[in-house]
Amino acid sequence: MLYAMNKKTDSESIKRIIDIEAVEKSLAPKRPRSHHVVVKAEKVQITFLVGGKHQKILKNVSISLYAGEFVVIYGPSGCGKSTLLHSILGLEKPSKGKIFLRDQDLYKLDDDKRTNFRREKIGMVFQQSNWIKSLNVWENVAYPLLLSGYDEESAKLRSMEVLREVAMDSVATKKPAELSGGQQQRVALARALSTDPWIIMADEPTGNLDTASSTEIVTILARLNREHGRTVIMVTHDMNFLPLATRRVGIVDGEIVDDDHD
Amino acid sequence: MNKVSKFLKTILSVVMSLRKVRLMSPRQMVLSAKKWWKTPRQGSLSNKAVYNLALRNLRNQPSRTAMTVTAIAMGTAAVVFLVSFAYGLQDIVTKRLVSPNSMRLTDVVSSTTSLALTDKTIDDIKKIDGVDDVAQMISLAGSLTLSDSRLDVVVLSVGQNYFNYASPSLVSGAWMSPEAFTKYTGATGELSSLVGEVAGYSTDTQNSEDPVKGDLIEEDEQSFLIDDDEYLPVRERPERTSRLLGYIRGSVLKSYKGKLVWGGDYNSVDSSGKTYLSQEGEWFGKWMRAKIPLYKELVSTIYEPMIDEAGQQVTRQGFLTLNSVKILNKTQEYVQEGMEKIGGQVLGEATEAGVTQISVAGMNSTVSAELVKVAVQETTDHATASAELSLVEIKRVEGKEVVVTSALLNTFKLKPEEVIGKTVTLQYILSGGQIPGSSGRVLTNVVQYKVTGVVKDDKKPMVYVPVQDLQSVGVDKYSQLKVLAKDSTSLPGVREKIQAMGFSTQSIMDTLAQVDRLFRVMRFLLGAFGFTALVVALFGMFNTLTISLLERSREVGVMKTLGTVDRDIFRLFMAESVLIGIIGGTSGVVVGNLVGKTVNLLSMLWREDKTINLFKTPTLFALGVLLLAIGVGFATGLYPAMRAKKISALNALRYE
Repeated sequence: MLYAMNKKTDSESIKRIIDIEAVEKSLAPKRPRSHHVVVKAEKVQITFLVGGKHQKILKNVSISLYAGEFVVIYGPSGCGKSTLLHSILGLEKPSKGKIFLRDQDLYKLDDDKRTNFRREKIGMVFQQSNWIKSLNVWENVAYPLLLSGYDEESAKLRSMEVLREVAMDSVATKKPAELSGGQQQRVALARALSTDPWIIMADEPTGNLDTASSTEIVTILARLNREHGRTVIMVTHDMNFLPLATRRVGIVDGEIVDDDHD
Repeated sequence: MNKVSKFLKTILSVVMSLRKVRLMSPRQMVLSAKKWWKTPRQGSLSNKAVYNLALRNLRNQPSRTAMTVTAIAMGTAAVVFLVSFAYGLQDIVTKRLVSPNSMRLTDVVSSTTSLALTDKTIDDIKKIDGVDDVAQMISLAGSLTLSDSRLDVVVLSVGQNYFNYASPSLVSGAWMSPEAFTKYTGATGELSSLVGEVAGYSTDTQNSEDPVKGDLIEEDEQSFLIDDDEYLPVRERPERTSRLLGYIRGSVLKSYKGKLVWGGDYNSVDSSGKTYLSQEGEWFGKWMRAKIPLYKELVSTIYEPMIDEAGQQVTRQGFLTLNSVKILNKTQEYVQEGMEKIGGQVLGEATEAGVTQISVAGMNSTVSAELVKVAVQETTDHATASAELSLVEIKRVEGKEVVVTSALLNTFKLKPEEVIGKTVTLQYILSGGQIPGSSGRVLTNVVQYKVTGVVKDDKKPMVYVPVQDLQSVGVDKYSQLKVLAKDSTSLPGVREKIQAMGFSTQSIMDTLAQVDRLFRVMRFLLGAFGFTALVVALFGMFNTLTISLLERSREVGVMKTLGTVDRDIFRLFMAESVLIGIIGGTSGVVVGNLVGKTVNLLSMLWREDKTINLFKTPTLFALGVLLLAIGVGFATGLYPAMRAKKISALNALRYE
């Protein structure tokens, strides 16, 4: 509401809200790129059967992502950026090619092992806030911890810790559905962080948010990357946040058309 | 193939863990149960976490869960309620049949005539391992008189301990006193005098001087009987060739008096017709001289009374051969008088073989210790078979006590208090073979008894008397023994051993087994009705689970993306349906039980008997139904859980 009242002209408000320079100033400087490959896609080709026709979603994509990078994968809707993300998550087996997480060939693992691998190594933030509806905020955050063998008590401690990190500890006992979209995404981020994964993956995390909330979330991601050295992979079609990334990968029609890093 | 081996592995591991459990101490069991509950498998949720999550999910949809649980509860309650009714009915029936001791009691009877239940049998049975006590009983017919009315009754002559096991309930008064059960036998002096008396007749009279026809053989007057409906010729003189005066009509109800005289010889089976050979070589026979109401023969075998001018039946002194004449001794005379007084119905009604014919074959008496056998042979010219009638005497007459049934009082239209302490008379009728050496019917003298108590039995007019009364006249075969085993578990073994001795056993357990079989069918049918309700609930539950699954497919995707393995998804959905089964089943069992109990309470207000419960829920059955409900929950959950397991993780990542 406050935002709406202050809104004078489009250009003015956009400029104010996504004042990347201001955000940039609030953050630590970008770190130099490391030489440790975390994710490696090798000639990944993914074909879907759509309406009886084979449609190539990804065409021979090869890319290596390094530890400590903040990668933004961008491109228009339907370009295949989400599909790439899914296959890195271990949910979409490539028709051809391989995905490595560090040295592990992801699709050589059986389903359960891949699931465990995903839980331990990747923290996931979705576009829509996806919750176990019957659980409250901290319990949702604690859920992956329970899967990792934490007992209830230590799971609670840990989840409160990560909630504090995203300043959401005050709503720990509320149901996620009672929170605003921005708050929910922060909690989602806390959940992604809870298992202390190698990689944070965010699939259109700002997709359902207003600009202010979007900025907030992306700022947090950037901060995690710069201050804690976390590897962040964010898929988005919002070009506004590109300056915050350390690497920008553009995908159009299933092919990488742009890959530049600082 | 992979699935099959996986399945087999699971079964194997369950079996192995069960074996491990068996070897555990209770403490270890608790610890391992805790471990099982709390410790997750690598990369998997702990049982506790699954349970918590399932419970949360159920609580998240309160109304839907409530509906489903209620449906299952109602189905379960229906099963519990209906089957409890069958159990209750069975209980009522069983309680009617069972008395405190009856579960360890068996009746023993002899199935063949050659094998009798005797005191030796009792001793043998008592020697069997596991036998606690044996009570004997002789059943026989009797004739009872109470305040001038007569009634045929069934007499149960029982040992003192018999009441403990037959346990007819006392309406009023008390059992016979222990003194009434003291053993006794006939007094020797009395007996010998009777024997002597009879022996006197049985010896042939051999005078040094030849007798004259018409001379008395004995001074004493004799009572005698003629076979029923038998017409015998009466002569003017004691000779076959003398004039026929008319006929004497035989009747068991009419005894005649006369004196034995010497007469001419005649054909007879025994020695009566040719008793004495004179020095001249003439045979003398025994004749009976008596005053006899006469009959005349109209045509062959049709007789009518001979009437004089005054319209009276002609009664004249005449002579009879002893063929078909039964001479009675003192005891028999006494009995006969009694019978004639009570109208002779005893023989006609209380004995099974119909009218007993009494025939006299002279004084050919066989005397056993207590039994005076008068009539031995059937000697009539007619070839009709006639049963024997023997007489015995119960010697002790004082201190006799009897317990009667309520049915008997009903017949006399008397109240218990009107008969207790009163005196009744009893005459027993024993059937052949009950006394050793006898083969016909045996009557006792009429003995006076004091009524001490009344037992509840509205069907049979019966009396209970001490077994010693019949033992005293030589009855040594029992109709039935009641054998009490030490406990109900040893009863089958005891029965087997008794059967091996050649006897038949009957136990209430046989009846109970049949009752149980009957009620098992009833339980099954009622249970099936209830189960129908449960099946309906099952479909409702299936539907609910499927809907819940479809609604939560995105959530399942999220869980999978967050690293939940398929197995845990399956476990979660199974946990939810099993929880519904547990909650629904438990509340159903409780509700079904409570409704039954309420009906019990309400029916108590109406009924006087507080011990009768229409509904009864055995714990094991309740547990069984609970397990059934849980099983239903489990089975219903399988399909949705399988489906949930297969939901793709990508569901979480597709945007709507």
